[in-house]
Amino acid sequence: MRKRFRNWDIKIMTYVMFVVTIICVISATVAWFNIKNDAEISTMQVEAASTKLIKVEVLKDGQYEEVKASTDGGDQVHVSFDMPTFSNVTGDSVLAPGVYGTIELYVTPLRKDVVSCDVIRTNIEEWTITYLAADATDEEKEQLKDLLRGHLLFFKTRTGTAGAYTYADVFESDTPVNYALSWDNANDVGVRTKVTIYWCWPYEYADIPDEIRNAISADADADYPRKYFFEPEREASGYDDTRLYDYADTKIGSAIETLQMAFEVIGNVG
Amino acid sequence: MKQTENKKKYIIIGIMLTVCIALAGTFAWYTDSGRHIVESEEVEVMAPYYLYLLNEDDEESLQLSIGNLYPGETKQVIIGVSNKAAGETSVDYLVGRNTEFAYELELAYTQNLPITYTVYELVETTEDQKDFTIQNGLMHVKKNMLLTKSGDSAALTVSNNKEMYDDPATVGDESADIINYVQYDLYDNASGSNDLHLTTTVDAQGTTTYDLDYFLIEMEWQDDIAFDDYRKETDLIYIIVKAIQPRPEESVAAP
Repeated sequence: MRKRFRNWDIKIMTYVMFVVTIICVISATVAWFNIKNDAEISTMQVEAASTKLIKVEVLKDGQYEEVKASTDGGDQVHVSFDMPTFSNVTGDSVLAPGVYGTIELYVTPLRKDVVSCDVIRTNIEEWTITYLAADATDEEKEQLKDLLRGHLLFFKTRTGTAGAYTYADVFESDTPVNYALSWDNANDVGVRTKVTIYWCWPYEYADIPDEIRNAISADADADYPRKYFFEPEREASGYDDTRLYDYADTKIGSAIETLQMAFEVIGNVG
Repeated sequence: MKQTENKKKYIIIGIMLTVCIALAGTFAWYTDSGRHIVESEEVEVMAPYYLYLLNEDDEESLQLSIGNLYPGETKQVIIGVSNKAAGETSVDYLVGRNTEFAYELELAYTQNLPITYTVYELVETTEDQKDFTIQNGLMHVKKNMLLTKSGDSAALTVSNNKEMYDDPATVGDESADIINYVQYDLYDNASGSNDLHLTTTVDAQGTTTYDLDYFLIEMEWQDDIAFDDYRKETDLIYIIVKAIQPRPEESVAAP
């Protein structure tokens, strides 16, 4: 009995040590490959590779502060919804039809092999929205979110002058927009690169950029279905699209109190 | 014997599970770099301008009902359009800022009865009631004020109109002799071609003054239209006012 036990004990221990050894070897190998692109072994150093690809900073109270990754602890820094001062609105920094502005980030690659970053406008389901009606139904909230998708637009490019801007390269929901990053070889540091996101709330239906307005479709599965721009219950009214768009603006303003949107920034290894 | 064998199996299974978890955790650690989610500040959405339809005493919401109209007869109703609700002393949505916004006045009505609708803008007059002579049109007494048609007595012009068959207000069948369909008349200019608009002003002491426009709607049975054909007919009338949010303009900083 004892002899059997000893044999069993040895077998188990051997097996376990074998597996643990395999794990260590694999871990060290992966870490080694991540540290350097050229497989040059000078010392048998087991050093974990950096898992962070980029550093993201946002402008906050006149200074740039780092946005922590989700795995880090601490308070999150919020990017300002920078907009000019407008007349004909009821306060500074309020969202209303006709206002526009920018969201500015700085992205720095932390590794030489990080060649670009993707900025993704997160799905509106990840936004924080407060509604004026405490008893707003889920259906009403979904309709309002649809209208926000069509009335609050985000772009990579803006040209022209104030009041007559032309927008291009739209940020579609959950679709990455790529920005190139670079590495300063001389100093062996990443180049801090500015990323600007332009946004606007078109004042009238005719102000919607052509690339979007021309793609508005009655097909509910299209990229820009009509429900993003007009209230479905008014479609049968016979009003033209200009007036329907105005009604949808009113619906947003009378139902939503505040909103807080989110973008995701992902580093890309070349 | 059997117990010992079972024990072996359990030990092996436990070790294998531990190894798998350790392996998965290790790779997860190497591949996970955390999500950089950039959240915006909380931003307020501006509430739209609100308009209220009031009756001629501007104390109650408008209740419109006209009955017993005969051929050749003209009936009138006075309505008020304000940026403050009846009975309210203030509004919450205005953030103490002087505002002025234009609005549209629209009449939507079915056409079962041969009625002509005319809208006049009314203004207060300082004429003494006893000495007032009807020169520019009708005179109406409201509380202690006199209202009269505006300067040139011209009716508001219809800037846009259309007829629609498919409308929630439509009742009846198109194939009938008398068809119920809705006529929309839109007015956006006051007499004298100035826009219809309402103003809110806040003085240095923080006192807010709201605005109130009066309109006279005349409904006249058209001449030479037989009464018998329309004796039991009824029309629906909708009065719609729609605020026009002015286009925000970027303020230019002083040099």
